[in-house]
This record gives sequence, structure tokens and C-alpha cells, in this order.
Amino acid sequence: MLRLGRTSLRLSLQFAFLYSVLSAIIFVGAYWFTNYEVRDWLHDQMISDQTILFSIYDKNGINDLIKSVEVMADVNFENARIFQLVGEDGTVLAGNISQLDGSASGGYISVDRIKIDGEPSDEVSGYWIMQNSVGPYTLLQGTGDHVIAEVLEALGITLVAGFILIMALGTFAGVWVGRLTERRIESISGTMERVSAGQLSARVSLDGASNDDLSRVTNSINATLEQLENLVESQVQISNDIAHDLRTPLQRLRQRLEKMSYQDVVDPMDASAALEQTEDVISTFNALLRIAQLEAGDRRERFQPTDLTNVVTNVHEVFEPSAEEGGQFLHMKAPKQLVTVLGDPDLLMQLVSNLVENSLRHTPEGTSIEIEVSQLDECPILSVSDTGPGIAPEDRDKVFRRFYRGEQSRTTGGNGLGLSLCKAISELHHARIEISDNVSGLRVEVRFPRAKQ
Amino acid sequence: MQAEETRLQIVDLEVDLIKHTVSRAGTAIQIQPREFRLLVYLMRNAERVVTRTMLLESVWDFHFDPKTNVVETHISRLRNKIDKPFDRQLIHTVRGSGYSMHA
Repeated sequence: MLRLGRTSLRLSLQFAFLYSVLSAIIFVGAYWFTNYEVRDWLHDQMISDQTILFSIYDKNGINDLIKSVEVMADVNFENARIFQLVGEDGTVLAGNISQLDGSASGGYISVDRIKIDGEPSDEVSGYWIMQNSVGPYTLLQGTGDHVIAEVLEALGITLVAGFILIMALGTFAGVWVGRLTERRIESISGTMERVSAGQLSARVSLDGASNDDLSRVTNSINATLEQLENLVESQVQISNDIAHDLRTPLQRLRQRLEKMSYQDVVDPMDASAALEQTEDVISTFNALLRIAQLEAGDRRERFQPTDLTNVVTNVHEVFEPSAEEGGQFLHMKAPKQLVTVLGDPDLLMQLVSNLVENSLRHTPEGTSIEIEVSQLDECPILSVSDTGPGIAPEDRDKVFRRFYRGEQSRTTGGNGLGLSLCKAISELHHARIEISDNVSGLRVEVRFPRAKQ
Repeated sequence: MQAEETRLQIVDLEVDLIKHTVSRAGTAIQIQPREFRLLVYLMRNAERVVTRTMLLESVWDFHFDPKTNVVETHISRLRNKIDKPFDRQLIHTVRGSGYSMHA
């Protein structure tokens, strides 16, 4: 079914119209020009005949002239050339014109006003005439216009045939290209429709190896859809996880309050347990808000030069007893010289604290955890490494998302916001946070920018 | 409790702020710097309830809440050193609020 999209059909018709107009102009031009040139040429021919006859008269006199005119009148193809030599008194002395109606002025005589010896060509509709004096005599010369007719006919046929051919080919080509483009555009709009209907994984297929505008558009669209899918996915995931994480403490809270409502006297234990649940919920929300605020970048204004070693020492001190209790080992390492970073000491402490807690929570007894301050190329580096199970390479980007938890960690405590908070804090400090392998185990590194002078 | 510049005391627990020494019932107690700071804070706020948040902020400059129960662990360590070997408990847990140091 030849269903031309409106665009391609419209373009084809516009092109056809434009071409027709141009062709018409060209035809008219060609026609006129050819006409002019051929007439010029014929005119030159007559002049050349004339020159010959005049010189014959000049050299040899009237008799030779008469003979020459007769010869010329005889020897000419299709009687295209006509001659007449007229004496002073008006008698015809030579030539192949038998009858001439009216005068020969005006330069052109139509075929019905003149009669010549022999059969003129069918196509002659008139003769171009030249009349000159040769001594006391008058010489009339003429050329039939059928030459031009034939030339123009040939030209006309070629031009028209060419026009028809081009129009035909052009239309087919236009339709064919239109259909190809049409198909690709259909493919794109089809994909977009599916995406609008909710199928975010739909992509435009890139068949064929052409590297044109449409391919570029297709690639851009696919890249955008990819980005869209990721964003929506993470939003959906966040919402799901928020709902999931908050449901449990809220359910427990409700149970507790229900129980309390059946009792005449409030048991302080019940009240404090209920309070605990609300603390959980509030702290999750606070953490979320914090991350959002950090991402908004407000706290940069309160930055001050901060000693990283001090931060690490403090965190180490706080967590070392807990590590020992869990059968884990917490060490720290820092250089002798001062390593400072322009930042927020509270946030930096929270960053290191989160990383340490992360390692404490997800590694077994016997794991060794090290917090290190170092400097590389004048860039301060904070790192927390452990000898635990590590994080699978494919999960490394995802762990920074809010609420993400790897399969094994689903059941451990915490609210899954720790690492995304670390990322938000790093970014606020213009630092880069990276996860890598620590020989065997996890290494999280925060690389700060070079200190500006 | 006497709140002098150089010494703190509750019942038989004595802390020398200059020398950084702790003793109870005349017996010297080996104590780490971090435990020392915690103890001093508790003593300076004796008779009052001190919440986890207050401890985190004042003793360790932590202005956020780590999920891990670091405060309990530190208190427990401190108790092992200055309460357990003795008859009378000085560090008390206040349910739902925090801790309090008193006779």
C-alpha cells in the first residue's frame, strides 16, 4: 500500500512543480536561442551566396551572373534556397521563383504567397527573403524555414522526452526515498508511542549502516530514552524502598499503640518502645532531607580549612570499641604532615563515620578495617579499606543510590542511605568517591581536589 | 560534687584534670584518653540526664547519629573500669533518655 506521508508527498509535488517551471523557462530559452542562432546562420549563408554572385557579376558581367543564378537555383537540396534575378524593366532573368505575390519587403514571405519551381519541402511555411541591387539588376534570395522547423522539432522532442523521463524517474525516486524515510520515521514515532504508553525499555532499532541525519537523531533518541529509563527506575526504586523501609517501623509503632490503647494504664516500656520506632522513621527522613540539602549545595558557604587527620582520629576513637566488640580490627594511618581540606568538618566526620560503619556492618568477625589519610599529587585522599567480601563490580555504581542494598545486605541493619550520603558529601566538597578492590576486600577512596593557594 | 578547676569528685571517685588520673576508693584506674573525656563530661553533668545526642556532640563532636551503638559501647567500657569492680554504681542508665551520673 503506497501510503505517502504528507511530508514526502508534499515535497515531491513541490519538487515536480519547481522542476516544471524551470524546465518551461529552459525550453523557452532554448527554443528562442536556437531559433535565433539558426536564422543567423541561414542569413550568413545567404550573404555568402550573395558575395559569390556579386563577385561573378563584377568580374564576368551579367551573362555569367545569369548562369550562376540558374546553377545555384538548380543545385540545392529540397529547394530550400530560392533565387530570382530581375532586370531593370522587371523581367525575370533567372531563378526558381515562378510567382511572387506582393512585395518582397519585410524579410519574410509565407509559402502561400510564393510559388517556386519544383516541390518545396512539406515543412516549409515561408521563406526568409533578402533583396539587393547588383548593378542595375535586382537579386532576390530566400531560404526556406523548414531547416529551423526541423532543428526545433528535434530540440523540442528531446526536451519534452527528457522532461517526461526526469519527472517519471524523479517521482519514483522521491516516492521510494520517501518510503524509506517514512519507514524510519514510523519506527521512531512507534517507539516513542510505546515509551509514552509506559514501556521505557523501548528503543529505536538502527538497521542499515547509513550514517545520516536520521541515524544521528535515532542515536540521540536512544541515549535520551536510556537516561530516562535510568532516572525513572531509580525514582521508582527510591519510592519503593522508602515505602518498604518506613513500613516496618510504622507497623511496629501501630502495633505498640494498639496494644497501649487496650490498656488502662500506660506502661512506660511500651511508650519508650513506641518512641524508638518514631525515632527510626524520623531519622530516615532526616537522612533523606540531608542528602537533598547537600545536593543543593547550601553548606559550601560554611567551609573552613579542616585537618583530615583530626577527623580520622576522632572517628577511629569513636568506633574502635564497637569494632573490638564485633571481633573486628579498626586501624588508622595518617602522615606526619598536615593534610587539610577546605570543607565542613561535621560532614567530613559523617562521611568517614558512614564508611567505617559500612565496613563494620558488612564484614564478618576477624575483618581488618583501615582508615587512611594520604596525599597524592597534592590531592588529599581519605580512604577506608577492609578485608571483607567487598562489593561486586557490577554493583559498584548502584551502591551510591539512595536505599540501594546488595542482595546479601538486605537483611543487615541500617537504612541504605549511608553511601548515598557519602556521595553527596563528597560532591559538595568537589571530591570524587570511588570503590575499588582492596587486594581482597573493599576499598572506598575519596579524592579531594588540589588545595588552592 | 565539687566542681573545682583541677579536680572532680563524686563519692569516692576522683579525677585529676591536670594530671589526667582517675582513682576510686584510693585505687588508681588506668584509663584511656577517650574514656577520660567521657568520664569528665558525665561528672561535670552529674545529677542530670545526659542523652546520647549530647554525648555524641560534646565528647566526640559528632553532629549526627551513627546507627551503630557507639555510645553504649563506650559507656560499657567505662563502667567496666570505674563501676564494676566497686560496690556502688555511679553511672546509671535512664530508660528512653540516656545516662546519668550520681551517687
